[in-house]
Amino acid sequence: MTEPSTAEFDGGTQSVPDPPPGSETVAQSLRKFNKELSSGIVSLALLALMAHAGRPLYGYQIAKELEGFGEGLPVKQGTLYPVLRSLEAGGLLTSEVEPSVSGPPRRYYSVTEEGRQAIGLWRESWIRTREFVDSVLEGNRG
Amino acid sequence: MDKDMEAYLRQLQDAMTSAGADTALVQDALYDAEEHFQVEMAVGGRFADVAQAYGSPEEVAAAYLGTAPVHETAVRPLNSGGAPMQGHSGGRPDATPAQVSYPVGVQTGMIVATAGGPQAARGVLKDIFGVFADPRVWTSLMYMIVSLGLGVLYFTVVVTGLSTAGGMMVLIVGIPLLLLVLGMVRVLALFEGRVVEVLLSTRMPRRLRTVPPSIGFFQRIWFWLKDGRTWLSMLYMVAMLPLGVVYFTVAVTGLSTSLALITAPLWWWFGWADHTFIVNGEVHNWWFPGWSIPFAVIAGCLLLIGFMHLVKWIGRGHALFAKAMRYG
Repeated sequence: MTEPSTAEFDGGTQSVPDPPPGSETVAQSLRKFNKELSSGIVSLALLALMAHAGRPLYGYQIAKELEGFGEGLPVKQGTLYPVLRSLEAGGLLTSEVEPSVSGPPRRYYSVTEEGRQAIGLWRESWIRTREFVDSVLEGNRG
Repeated sequence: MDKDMEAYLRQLQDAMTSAGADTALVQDALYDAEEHFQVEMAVGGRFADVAQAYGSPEEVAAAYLGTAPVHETAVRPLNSGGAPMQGHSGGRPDATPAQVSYPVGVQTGMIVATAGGPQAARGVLKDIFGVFADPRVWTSLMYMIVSLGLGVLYFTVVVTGLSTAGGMMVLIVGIPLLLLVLGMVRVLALFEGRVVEVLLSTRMPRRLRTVPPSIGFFQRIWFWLKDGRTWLSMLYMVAMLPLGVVYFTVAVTGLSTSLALITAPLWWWFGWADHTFIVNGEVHNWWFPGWSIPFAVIAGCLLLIGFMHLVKWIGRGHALFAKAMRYG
């Protein structure tokens, strides 16, 4: 209540990791790279978290859980929700809306059988990709 | 704090609407953000920080718009628009952003994926006969039939409810009665939304608009009263009676007339094609002559095709109308 009404909520320029000092081109390229990189990774992380959780979780819980890993969530929390919905549309998650005592009803997500099967394959694909990218970055030809 | 949240939600809505997002997708984004913020607020914290972690309205809008068009083809009707050329595009969604819609069928478990129809049917033929293969036309027909009953129910609730509450307003009972009517209207509007979504294949709101939890009894009534959607819903419910009468009449007469004509050979064969009229006390007997039977079948087929197209357009038109009245 004490907060003055902020007209703009612009968190857009501060995506993690912070752009290093340099030209605007470099910062822009990092933003673009992060955006492209995150599209698949977020789905993978979400599905993995849901498969581990073993119980239905709602969006806020999912965001908070993910904050606890590594150095924290590399994307904005708000971008998780559309990914959850698209995973559900793809049949990997299912959801159920349950009323809550305070505030609006919450949408609880849980992983489907297809989702469990998918995560195994995604994981293999991720490990292969990661090893490949790592060795290219380090210049090892294996 | 609520003010900040409302401001954020409005900005998110504007960002998505100006990017041409479907109203249903905008609704989803608003539900998600509201759910998240309410939990954060309950935990305690500055809204500015919460919004910073959630992402700017523009970022969030972009995230929804980036993930929305999956399965878009599944909900597209067989003959979108009249141009035969469009039939050859292989079900590709139009590129116009205004057309981006949300995967209805996938979400509701409805089977709409067959709307693509047989690939062999092409051009004009597909435009004419495709209606029979389009499940949305059959569900629209079902909607037209149930709309009479629904219209009577809605009309009765709104008209008797409002007039009773209005009449009792001199006494104090009027206020709780009005509250009851408002509550019923909101629940019925949600119910009608579910019916429209399933039968007319358009996305409708899935839950009631949340009232801020902290407000009191009279503020709650005031919140509902000043919400334009409450009044639009009532208007829709009143309009459903005449619309339901028209839809039902068109559905029943169109279907029975065309089917009777198509099956004319059967009636003729069994000798049921005679008609007895009594005009001014005189009995007239009239037989369908044999040569007229093939014409009756042809007329029946043409009538049925025309009727199915009419059903398709009524279904689409009503879906647009219902959507406009709910999201207003």
